Amino acid sequence: MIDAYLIGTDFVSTPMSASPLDDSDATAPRPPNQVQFFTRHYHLLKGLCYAPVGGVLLLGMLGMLLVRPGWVASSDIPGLFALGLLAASAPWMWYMHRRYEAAYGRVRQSEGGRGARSGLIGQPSFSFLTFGPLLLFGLCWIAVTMVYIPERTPIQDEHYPVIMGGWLLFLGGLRAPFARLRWIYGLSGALLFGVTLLPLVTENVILVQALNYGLLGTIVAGMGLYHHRLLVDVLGPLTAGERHIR
Amino acid sequence: MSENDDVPFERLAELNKLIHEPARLSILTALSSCGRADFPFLRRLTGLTKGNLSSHLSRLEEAGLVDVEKRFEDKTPVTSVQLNENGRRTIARYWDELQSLREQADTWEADDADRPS
Repeated sequence: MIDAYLIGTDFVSTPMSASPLDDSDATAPRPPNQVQFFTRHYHLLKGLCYAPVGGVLLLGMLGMLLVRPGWVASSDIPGLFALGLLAASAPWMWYMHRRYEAAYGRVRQSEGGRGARSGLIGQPSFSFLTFGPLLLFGLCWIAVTMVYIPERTPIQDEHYPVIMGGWLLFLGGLRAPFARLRWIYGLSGALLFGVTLLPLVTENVILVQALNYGLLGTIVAGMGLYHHRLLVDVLGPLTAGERHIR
Repeated sequence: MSENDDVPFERLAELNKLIHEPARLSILTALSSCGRADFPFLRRLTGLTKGNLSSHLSRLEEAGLVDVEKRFEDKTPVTSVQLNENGRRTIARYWDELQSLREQADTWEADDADRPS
């Protein structure tokens, strides 16, 4: 009986209800770990807010490769393009954020994590023993990509956005409560980690830059679509109009 | 027999039944993971019907675990729910008790129940 409340259930073992909007379709409550995950990471799971940014980054890199390969080889242009894209997409993000809230309602996170419990029973904990080696790994990674590679190879771009994306995915992989999510975050983080080390293998600047930013765009778009799919599977279709009183 | 020697499953009966009910546990877990949530979000997340969710929220409000706020936004009524301090303490205590039960159950052997004290 205790197990009914314990953690470890995956999406596979507990399929989501097909139509949460249907009032007549009363379903069994979801396991606490799913409830906690979707509440705590609700804003991150609004994948359509940022998926198009990744898509445009990927298409932009492909376009540059075809039209102006010299821009791709630049140590500044791809990074500035990625950051500029992020800034330019703010109106879209705001619009999609409003659409999600109109459909699913608003969730405000607690101030300073007040009262937020770090994990339910059986969830992976994030102790100092985990954090220590992770921090060491992160520092080594930064030292290689930001110091060693620019000094020893012709690649001058430190790939900040790629490193940031990979780092966030690694952290997400450690904290995700479901095995499938851990694998997806972990593999995506490993891909971004590996691609930043590409200058150690080849000195082809265009190839390195195109792969770094192209992969970043692909993963951002892919994660956005995947997160959106998760949210739709759990909360139902993204249709507006339910801001009900009780 | 001391408390620690009890058959752990018997202690399940001592858990707070108001929280132990799966639907209310889902609601409280959601609210303990955020600051405040709107009614539609809770309804979609828990998979409960409007009536059921409303009824469970009423019970939780009567028990003094949650605060319910009703307001209008653009002439549309909006209900949002927040776990208060008492609610946060109660749900945290509940998880601690369940964790302790789990640890006891992990080490417990069926023969222990038949053994004379």
